[in-house]
Amino acid sequence: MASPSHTRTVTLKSCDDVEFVLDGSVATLSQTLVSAMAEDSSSSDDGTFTWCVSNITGEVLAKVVEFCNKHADISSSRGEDLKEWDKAFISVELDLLYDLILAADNLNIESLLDLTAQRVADEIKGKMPHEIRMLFNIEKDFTDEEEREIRREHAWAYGGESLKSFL
Amino acid sequence: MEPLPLSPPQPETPPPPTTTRPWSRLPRTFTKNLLNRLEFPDYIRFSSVCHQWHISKRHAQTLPSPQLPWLLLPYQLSNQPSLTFYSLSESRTYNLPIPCIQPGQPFSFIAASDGYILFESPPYSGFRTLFNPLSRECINLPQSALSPPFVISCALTSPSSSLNDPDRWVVLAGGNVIFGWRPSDGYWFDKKIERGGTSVLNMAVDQEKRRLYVVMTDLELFEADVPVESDLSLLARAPRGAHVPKPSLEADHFLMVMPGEEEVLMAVVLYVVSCEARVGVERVVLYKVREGDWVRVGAREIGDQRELFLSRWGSLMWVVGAEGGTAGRALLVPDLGTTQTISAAQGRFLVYIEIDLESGTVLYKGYYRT
Repeated sequence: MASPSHTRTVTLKSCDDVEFVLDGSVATLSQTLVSAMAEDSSSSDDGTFTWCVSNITGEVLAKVVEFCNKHADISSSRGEDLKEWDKAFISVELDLLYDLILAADNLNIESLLDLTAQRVADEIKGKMPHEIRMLFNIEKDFTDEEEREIRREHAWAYGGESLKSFL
Repeated sequence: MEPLPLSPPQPETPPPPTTTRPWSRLPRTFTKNLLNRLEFPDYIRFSSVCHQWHISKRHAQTLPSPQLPWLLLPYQLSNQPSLTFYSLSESRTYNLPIPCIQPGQPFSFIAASDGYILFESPPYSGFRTLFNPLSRECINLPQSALSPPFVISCALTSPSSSLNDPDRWVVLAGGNVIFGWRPSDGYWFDKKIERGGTSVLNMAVDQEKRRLYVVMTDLELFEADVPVESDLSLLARAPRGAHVPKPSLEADHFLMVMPGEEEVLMAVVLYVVSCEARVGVERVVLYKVREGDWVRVGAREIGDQRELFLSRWGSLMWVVGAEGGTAGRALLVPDLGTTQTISAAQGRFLVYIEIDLESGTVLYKGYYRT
């Protein structure tokens, strides 16, 4: 039997060999780490556990660790303060945002998935497809015919009229 | 037929990209999470960004929830039946064609629940149709002898993406009749509430528990399980405390039923708008059934603004005026001055404004017809 995860220390290692030491209770925010620790009983004696995160650089992992530390800290993770903190935390360039999404997915950190998803939802809000493509540097890979077909069902959604001038 | 609009061509000298990452490829769990946060039009448009996004939306079977309500703008009968909605999240109007109404046929909008819109066509005929703008499904409701002649409220039980879910009921309330219909097998019931001259003021459904709450015009609150097989039971008789205004049906007020969390099983929100005052909320009170008391609340106590006036899964909701309905922290401001441009088109209009009662900050505003 593995010992309860919160008694252990976890070492996270990025793909470029940067190491971060996490308290066991912080690591429980990541379902990936929880499962890995539960499966692993070999290193439970010395109370440490090392996990290599492929495809995530040290720079990104540092942000993830910062997020987990904040969210695992019960005394600060309540109410408006945390919301403000999250807002500031996620105000990053799109490249880093994308990397955080991959990291949140890879490590299965639900609260970070929620936060990144909300940021992307806010970016998409009210934008037409060509504006979304431009923002995220996505190539339009539909032919005109395909695009027409996809839009046919809900053509109304592409022709909204702004009423801002009235308000 | 006019060709459907396409994306405008790429500008010849596009601005430098803001990102170098492959955004068309997103993890599936992330996409699912994201889709669940999008407002209805964003959700629709998501799939026409690129192939990958199109495919990932098809895989995600979740409906976006919860949604901000859409305000129904006044509509005129024309050859192409459609309704215009005002999206609060985008300050934009959308004109939705209604395929289930025959061109040229008169119709009236009755209510909305759980993303479905209920129509009657022709008006007051009792021929009612449910329409889902997302799936574009159209379903005719059966008529029964007791079927309410005038429907106040419509509610769907059991959140589900399909009307054919055997747990799913469509419940209509109006006059003193509750009428329910199960689309999966066509079974229906109707139930009269005999309470000496009172009629239904509003109705709400706890979707998960399939429990129905009905408020009568004398503020008596009834509950029943759906399908309603026996008499509805009286859940609460709203007391008239010193700080509770005596409700008067002549006055503009809202009454809303809200299945809530454990500690507030049921809340009645009463909005009283003074006729004289330009900004006229007199008070907002919650009736907490479990605690049996009226509580005057500020915005913070009401909690998350979205919970109050949104159906849990619904993508559309009608924000109604003087005859009850669902409006969250709403103020009704009869302000014909600023609505002249629209009011010239048809009838009388009200401005819908949502104001944070504590800070006085305007959160949303829009129009709707009376």
